[in-house]
Amino acid sequence: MTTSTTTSSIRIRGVVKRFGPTVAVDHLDLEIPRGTLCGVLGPNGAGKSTTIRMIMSIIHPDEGELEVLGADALSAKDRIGYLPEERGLYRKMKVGEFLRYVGRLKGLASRDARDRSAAWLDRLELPGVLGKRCEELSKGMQQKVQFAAAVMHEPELLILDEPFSGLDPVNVRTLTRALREIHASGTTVLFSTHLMNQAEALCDRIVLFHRGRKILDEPLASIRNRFDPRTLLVEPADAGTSDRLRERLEALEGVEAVEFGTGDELVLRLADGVAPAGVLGAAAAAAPLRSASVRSVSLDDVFVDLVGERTVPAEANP
Amino acid sequence: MSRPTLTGWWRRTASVAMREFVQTVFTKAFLLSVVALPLIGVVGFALIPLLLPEGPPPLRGEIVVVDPGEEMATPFERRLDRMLGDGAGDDGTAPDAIARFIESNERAVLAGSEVTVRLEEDASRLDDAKDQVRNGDAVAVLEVRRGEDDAGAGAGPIESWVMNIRSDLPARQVMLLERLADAAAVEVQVERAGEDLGRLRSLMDPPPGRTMRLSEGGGEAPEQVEAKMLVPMGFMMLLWVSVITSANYLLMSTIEEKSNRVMEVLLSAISPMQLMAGKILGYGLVGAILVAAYGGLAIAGLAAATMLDLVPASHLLLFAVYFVMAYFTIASLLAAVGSAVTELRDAQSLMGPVMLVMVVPLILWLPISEDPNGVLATVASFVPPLTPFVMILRTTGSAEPVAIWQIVATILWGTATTVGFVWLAARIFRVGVLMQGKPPTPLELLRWIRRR
Repeated sequence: MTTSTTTSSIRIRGVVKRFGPTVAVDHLDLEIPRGTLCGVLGPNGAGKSTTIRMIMSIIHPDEGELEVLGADALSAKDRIGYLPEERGLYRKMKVGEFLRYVGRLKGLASRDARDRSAAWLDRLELPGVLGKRCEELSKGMQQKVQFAAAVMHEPELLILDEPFSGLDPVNVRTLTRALREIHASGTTVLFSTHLMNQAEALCDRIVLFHRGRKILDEPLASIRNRFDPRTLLVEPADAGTSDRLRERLEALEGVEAVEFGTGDELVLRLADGVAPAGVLGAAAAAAPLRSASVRSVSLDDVFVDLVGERTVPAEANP
Repeated sequence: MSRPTLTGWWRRTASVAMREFVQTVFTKAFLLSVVALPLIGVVGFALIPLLLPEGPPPLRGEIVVVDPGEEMATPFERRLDRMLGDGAGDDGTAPDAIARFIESNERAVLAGSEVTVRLEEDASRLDDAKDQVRNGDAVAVLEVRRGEDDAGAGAGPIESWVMNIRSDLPARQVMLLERLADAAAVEVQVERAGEDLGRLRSLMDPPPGRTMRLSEGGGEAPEQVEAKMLVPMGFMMLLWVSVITSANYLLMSTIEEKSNRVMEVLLSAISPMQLMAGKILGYGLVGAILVAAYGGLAIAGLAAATMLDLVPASHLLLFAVYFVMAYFTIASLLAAVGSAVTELRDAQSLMGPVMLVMVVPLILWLPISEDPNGVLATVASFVPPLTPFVMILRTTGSAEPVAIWQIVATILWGTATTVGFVWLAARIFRVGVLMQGKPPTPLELLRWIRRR
């Protein structure tokens, strides 16, 4: 496996992709540094999958330049692992045969493909499925088999399109652990999701898409610093006193609105430019509190802040 | 920056080809339908004579010929003795191989039998003779019925005969006895007319003759109707069936990969061109297996019938060339169709034009076999994608050889058009494999071809 010495895994300049009258990706500039674990976020139809497909050279941009691992995308295919959004396996093929086949297509020798297939299935807690037909596996197991197919050739760049969709919490944990290990070994990981909390939990860099355009591209820490936290969470010391507390808190200077949260919790929204620490002190003085804290900004909040609409209904977030 | 090497390109293409081949050929359905059945046919053909019962049980006893005219028993006995013999003294008068084959089988019907013929001139003893049959003392009674003549009743010409047989006499032996009775009756009639049966037979036998086809260029070649009509049809059907079957496998496999969404996994590792090339090569091998199975069966059949001279090596060589040409054309077209649809039922409308073209060789078989060097045949030879089908009909069936320039020109032209079809199909394939949803219209297909 050759290793490029360039500092960026992906470099995209002015890329445009149209499907008929629809502009799926609109003048995209993007640079993903090596070793990053980057989340590509955005609602359905934002252009995430199209961008990923162009990175994989499955489709080609109408305009612009695209460089992957210091080469054109086609030449770098062997050094990229890819889990597409649409899961697919040969139904009648045995799992072992499928993994060996994909491994060979990715440039592995037959023996390596065989050894790594078995090793990855064990690692993903899928022992004993090598000889089973793909159609005999559950959906979650099939998804893990595909994950193994994407990583077994030890790619320098791993691209995952909605890797956790449809997985139960146990399998999400298994895949998350594997993903962290792969990243820790030096692999650049780029994964798309429309679920903000997953990206927040995993990524050190976030790229946000909206209607074919990139609207945010920053390290997660930088995003949290840049977008001021303007929400406080307050819980009265005595249960059942939320109504009275709410009236007092609404009267505080700098508080724009107070809403009921879960249980006795109250959510205070602060006006622009107001220091949260000052309001926290005033709240504590106004009434006895069980707890009071500044709520960290969520990516969903950031998205709302940037485009004025939510990415997905709040209840869709697990 | 490293470019994929040519070796790497072919290695991956070969991986695709091998997967398609293995996943198709090493299945019970394929092995049973494509390989096992012809093999069973060949083996069965060879074993049938061994498996058949050796023949009916041997006859023991006498056949009573009740003939007041006393003429029928001798020729009947002579013929029966010939059947009871081992054929060593066969005079070879049987007119051809088929007749000799029939006679050999008839001998087998009476193998091991010990039958004598007894003449009974007294017609009034007929009932006694029948009782002998019923009691098992005689095998049969051949009653000869005669008309009147100057010598009196019962001495006239044979009007009819009745074979009275034992109730358990097997049908094959009955049929043989009937044939012997017929032949004996004819001999009696001929001799009564004062003629010699042998002389009449020789007069009736046509002298050896043959037909020569004279060409305008001064050449002449023996006309072989079987070769002219059946051999080209055999070659064309072998080409047609193997190409259609293997290309259809390719179509189904492409649709499956699209419908089960495995296509994107493949395309993340290889290019659409590698995928298509691998598929075409893989199913080409499947087609070759089909050709070997069915062609081998046909050749074995011809060899068994000592007609192998109808299929010279040059025909086989040309078949190989035309198979490659036809397969690549049809397979690439069906690959394009498969890439453009997600479900088999969507493929039907796009398959229509391809199948329409594939029917044309079947329609052209008769006119081209009738006149392999005529205008229709010559023109059709240059119409893609009919070229390989028409040329296999012409080159394997024409008594007068097809002009060399036409063979060379059609191979060159056919190769060029095949490359053209593969190129067009590849343009559609690279776009189609990533498309989902409703099948494209012809206009959209054109756009796909022109897309950068």
